[in-house]
Amino acid sequence: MIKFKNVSKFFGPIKALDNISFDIEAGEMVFVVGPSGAGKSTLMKLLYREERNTHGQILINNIDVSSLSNDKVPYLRRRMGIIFQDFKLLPNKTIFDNIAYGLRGLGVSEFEIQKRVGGALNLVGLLDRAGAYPDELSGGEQQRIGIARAIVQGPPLVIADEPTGNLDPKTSIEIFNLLKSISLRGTTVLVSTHNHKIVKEFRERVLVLEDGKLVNDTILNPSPYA
Amino acid sequence: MRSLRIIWRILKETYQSIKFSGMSNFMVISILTVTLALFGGVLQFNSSIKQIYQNLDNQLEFSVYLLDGAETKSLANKISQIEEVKKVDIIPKDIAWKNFRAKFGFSDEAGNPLPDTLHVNVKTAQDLKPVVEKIKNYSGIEQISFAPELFQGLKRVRSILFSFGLFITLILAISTVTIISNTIQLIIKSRSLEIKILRLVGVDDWFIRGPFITHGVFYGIVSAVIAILPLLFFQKFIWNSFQSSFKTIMPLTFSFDSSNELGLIFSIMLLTGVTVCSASSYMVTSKYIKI
Repeated sequence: MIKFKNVSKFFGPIKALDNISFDIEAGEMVFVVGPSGAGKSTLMKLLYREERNTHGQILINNIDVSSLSNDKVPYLRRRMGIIFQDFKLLPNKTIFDNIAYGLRGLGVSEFEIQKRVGGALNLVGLLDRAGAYPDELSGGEQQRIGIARAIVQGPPLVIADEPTGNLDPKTSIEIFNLLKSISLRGTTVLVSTHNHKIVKEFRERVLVLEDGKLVNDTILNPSPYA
Repeated sequence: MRSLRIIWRILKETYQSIKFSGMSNFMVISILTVTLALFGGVLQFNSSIKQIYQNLDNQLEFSVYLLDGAETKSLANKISQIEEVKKVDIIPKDIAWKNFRAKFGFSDEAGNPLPDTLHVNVKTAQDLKPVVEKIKNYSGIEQISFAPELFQGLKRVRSILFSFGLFITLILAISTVTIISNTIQLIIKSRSLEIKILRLVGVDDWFIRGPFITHGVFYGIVSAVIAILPLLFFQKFIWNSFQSSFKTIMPLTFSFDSSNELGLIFSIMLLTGVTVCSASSYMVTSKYIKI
């Protein structure tokens, strides 16, 4: 589903990613780990075309993201859900409206929005908080809303950039479990984190980045179901 | 159906954007209204003067002021003999003075400075100048006053005022564009999170930019509607001033229909306002909202 072929990204003289290559199959859950400044966020941003790679090729479902014209980028992003470390919830909108906001911009009917948002909230276990505002929720709950928003369009790919960066270890495990359950439904999930310790508890593939280089690509404790 | 939903949602977003702008709306609309009113005023002044010229060119009347002691009746008879002349009215100086005093509230102490006057009507507008030429040399005539000649000087004034007015409008238009751009830029910055979310869920570019552009259109429409109101009074003012200034010194027989002109001026103001505002908004969104 995702192919990185000799991808590099420079910010002026700084090499954020250095000749990275890997493949990710559809339905896989993959962790991207590494210390701060290793290039995790840059790698994520290249996938949803917030940034353009300097060299190499990035393919998502055989579409070359690097050479995609600007007017085609929205179509690419409709096929993926993005989750952020700081949740990016609109404080003046209810949970329901936060999730529905993008759908309204896409011209989805209110009936369809009700159905989809209800389904997404149900999946993250917060259906009863639909009328609440973000600041009435805990950090973990806010991130669940971020996940609900990412999956509400039913995308084949979910990109989570440090989704547990602002959360305690217990809540982080809950969030990773939730992402794992999404992956088990057939969605490809790519999660970046600096938390090696928690990642080890999951039997998933891990890409290790250091100073912009891919230094390791392994499956920890392979799952008997893999 | 989807397009209609998106249009409806753009309008809702526009409403939110306007509500959010608060007092900035007032500031933008105020300066834009002044600019459009001035622009409309320049157009209106120009158009009114043009209309007055056209009417003056079609005048069938002129005034003949006689010297003291002139044979008023015999001169009136002589003029009425001319083939192209339709009618000659004698306005004795006593009556002219009485009317003048009634109009301007002068006292009678200084004595009557006005001469006897003849109001001459010709058969067609083309007859006016030849008849004036013919009787100019009659004895007992002090001065002949006819409209086209009298207003030649105004043409120059009109041209100067028109150029000056347009120049001031241009300066104000530049200020307006700057203020609109800053306002829209502030809204974009304050709504950056919403914009980012919309971008990342793959919403079309025009849906994201749309509300800011329609916000500009809103400014253009509201300002043009407000700006036309003073022009309705200005129109009346121009005509009343013209009448009170000149009707006492010569007979004028035309009416002033401004409805068509005003409609056209309003359309130009509306179009200008909407174009300037939406173009400013578009430029700002192009600069500050990236894919």
